Amino acid sequence: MIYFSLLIPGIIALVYAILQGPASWTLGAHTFWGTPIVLFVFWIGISHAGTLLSAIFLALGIKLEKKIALLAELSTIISLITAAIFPLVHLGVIENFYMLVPFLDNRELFSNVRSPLVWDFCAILIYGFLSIMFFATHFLSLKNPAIEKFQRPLAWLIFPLVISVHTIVSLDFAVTFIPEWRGAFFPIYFVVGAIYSGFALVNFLLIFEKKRNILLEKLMLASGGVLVLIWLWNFLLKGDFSLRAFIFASLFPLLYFVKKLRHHPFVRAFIYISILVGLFFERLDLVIPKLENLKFIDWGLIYFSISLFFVLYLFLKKKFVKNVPENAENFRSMDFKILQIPLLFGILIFVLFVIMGFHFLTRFDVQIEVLHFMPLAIPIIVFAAASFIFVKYILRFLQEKYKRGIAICFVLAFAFLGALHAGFSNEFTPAKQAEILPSEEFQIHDIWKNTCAACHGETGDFNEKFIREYYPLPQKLTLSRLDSLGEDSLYQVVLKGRVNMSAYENRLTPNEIRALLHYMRGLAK
Amino acid sequence: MDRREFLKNCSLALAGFSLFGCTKTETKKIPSDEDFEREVQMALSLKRENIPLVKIEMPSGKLNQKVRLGMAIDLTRCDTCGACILACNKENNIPLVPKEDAELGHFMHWIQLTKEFPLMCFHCEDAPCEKVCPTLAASHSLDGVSVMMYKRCAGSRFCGANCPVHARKFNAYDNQKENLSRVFNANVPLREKGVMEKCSFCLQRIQENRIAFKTENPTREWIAENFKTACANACPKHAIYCGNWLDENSELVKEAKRHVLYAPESIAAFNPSIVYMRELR
Repeated sequence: MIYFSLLIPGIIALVYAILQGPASWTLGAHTFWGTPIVLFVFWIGISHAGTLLSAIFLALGIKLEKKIALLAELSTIISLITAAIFPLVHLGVIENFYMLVPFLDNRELFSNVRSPLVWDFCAILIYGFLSIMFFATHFLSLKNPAIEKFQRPLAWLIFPLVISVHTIVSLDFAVTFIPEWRGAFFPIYFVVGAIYSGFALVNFLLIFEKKRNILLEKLMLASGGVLVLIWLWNFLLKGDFSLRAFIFASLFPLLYFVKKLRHHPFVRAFIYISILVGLFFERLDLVIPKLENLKFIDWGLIYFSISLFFVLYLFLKKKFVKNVPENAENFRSMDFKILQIPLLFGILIFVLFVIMGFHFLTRFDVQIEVLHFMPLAIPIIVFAAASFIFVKYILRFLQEKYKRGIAICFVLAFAFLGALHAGFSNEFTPAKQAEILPSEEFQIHDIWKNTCAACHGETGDFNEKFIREYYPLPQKLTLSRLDSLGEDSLYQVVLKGRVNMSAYENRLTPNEIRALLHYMRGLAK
Repeated sequence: MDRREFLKNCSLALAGFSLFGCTKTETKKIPSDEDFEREVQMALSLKRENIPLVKIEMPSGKLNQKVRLGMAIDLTRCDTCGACILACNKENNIPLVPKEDAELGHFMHWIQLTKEFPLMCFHCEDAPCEKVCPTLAASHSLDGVSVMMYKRCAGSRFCGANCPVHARKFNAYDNQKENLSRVFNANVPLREKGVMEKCSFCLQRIQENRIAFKTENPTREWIAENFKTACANACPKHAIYCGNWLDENSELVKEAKRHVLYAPESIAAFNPSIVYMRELR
């Protein structure tokens, strides 16, 4: 447990960053994006390897050692947790994060499903949820082989989700007008980069287990090759090229091809770390183009993400990954038959979601089409189908204590949804009256003194001597009277005059009259 | 530890803790008019490079739309003096920026200057920033103005990344706490830390104009006659024509008909409400 203390410097940086807001780290000049987005893209990329590997391998029937699969899935969940923190840090107003959820709040507002950020938010939430579900199913199947039957249907559901999630992350960039971020190849570019970095991390973690999987290393190198080709494409298209990413992520890994070196674990560890470093630089140069100097807080956030990953990894590995049987049985099951009804259920849920979104967004005059919902199709259908499988088939195998835990989670989830529905305060904190200073050239007090004070008095009490001599007494300035008249009719009185008051139409500008009315309200008792 | 030592340590600790009280007492310093003028002068010395302009059609309205507010800026008259920036800053309580940002040319000003013309939010009918706002904080008003709901903004800055002319500004600092802002106009709220802001087409003036019109003519439809933004009011060369694109009798439409209209190349496809005028037609 002592290693938890490693987190402390990172947490200090994180808290400082949250309190100070985006000004505390380096921001791109025109995009206002910075390190948190870099770290988010980096860790979400890494998270792809684990689930991708075990889900796709399982779905396609490729044998993989159970321990390797479990470790990879665990690293996925942890890097997802690490990644999920950073979009929140990135936000200017963190307490408003809930407005991104396409969920109806009590102001009857719906988030904008045209925005890639909303797709992103949903896809990642669902991906995280399914990764945990998949890991749980895998973990439970170690004790109860009957569950194994449902692992493959889940794997088939996760297969498209994994690819769609990183495609959506790439769309965050590709839909904008920043020239460096545009390109039709961005989805494949991001997915390949994610697989490359993710496999590098999994291979790195396997070194500590004294294990090695040639297939994973080959896949890593293959995706690395594709990535280098895409970099070349990007360079020829836009002329920007990240030299440090190239050196770390494609020159150093060439050491792998020297036969003597690649059998040495230290060399392999160096290659994997160099790939991770290189891909981090790649994202950094992508998000903050033409910016070199990182601030202290940037380094703090980077340190935080790395320490959080490893601390959670060491902690959870001890808890969950032990006594794993060595051989993996390739289980043949009726995957697609099990999937039929859950998938139909998922499609139904998606259709309901589209109808709900349409209903609320068209009320606000937002131009919306079914097209705009499509990026959410895969995540939502997969989410509904997987939940269906989990609730219908897997839940009954659970032990009593786990069931209780899940019940508590459900209650918490509904409480959370309720909190989202209620939302936070949306009231403005108006500037206090004392802080409102008129500018030097617009001294409202002087205007009052020059134009109004002759009759109404400098403090709003009457200039009785003057009035009694010439006019009958004007109305007393009381708050209730001013409020009953309302600002607009008072405005007209000043403009056109009334009874003994003369018209000020040509002597005061409309703005001055409004200001005088505000000033008068301040004088009223 | 004997009693003597204990008391000694205690009093030392007490003395140590009392040092925490020795913070500098901050007096609230509200920036003066000169500070704002100085910043505008600085912005004038750091003008942006010109961006290419292309010819466009006159902005038109949708079916049944009566008001589409907009502007036409006469580039033959504009000499980029910066009077509009100062007027805009005071009208909309735009905060100052710390020195480091100012030196880099990152101001909060809603109007920026290139070497030939002023540049602000173009209030595109088909605005790219509104499309990517996840919370719909950036949306379009019925008068054709691209508006910003500060309280709905989560500060994701996606809109800022998606504006081709970078018209959007991000409130990175707590302006009130850091003495960067000042209330010139009580009708405009000070923006909180973490939200985006941009030209609002003087929303408060639109509202004022509408209310004034409706009080005098309750039965007539408001078509934004005599509406002027702060920058149009302040322009010493009268280069800014401001009004309703759908009002055939307005000065704006009459002037726009006489001139060839231009918009930045990157904006032209989004149907901007603010256009430039150069030569006569």
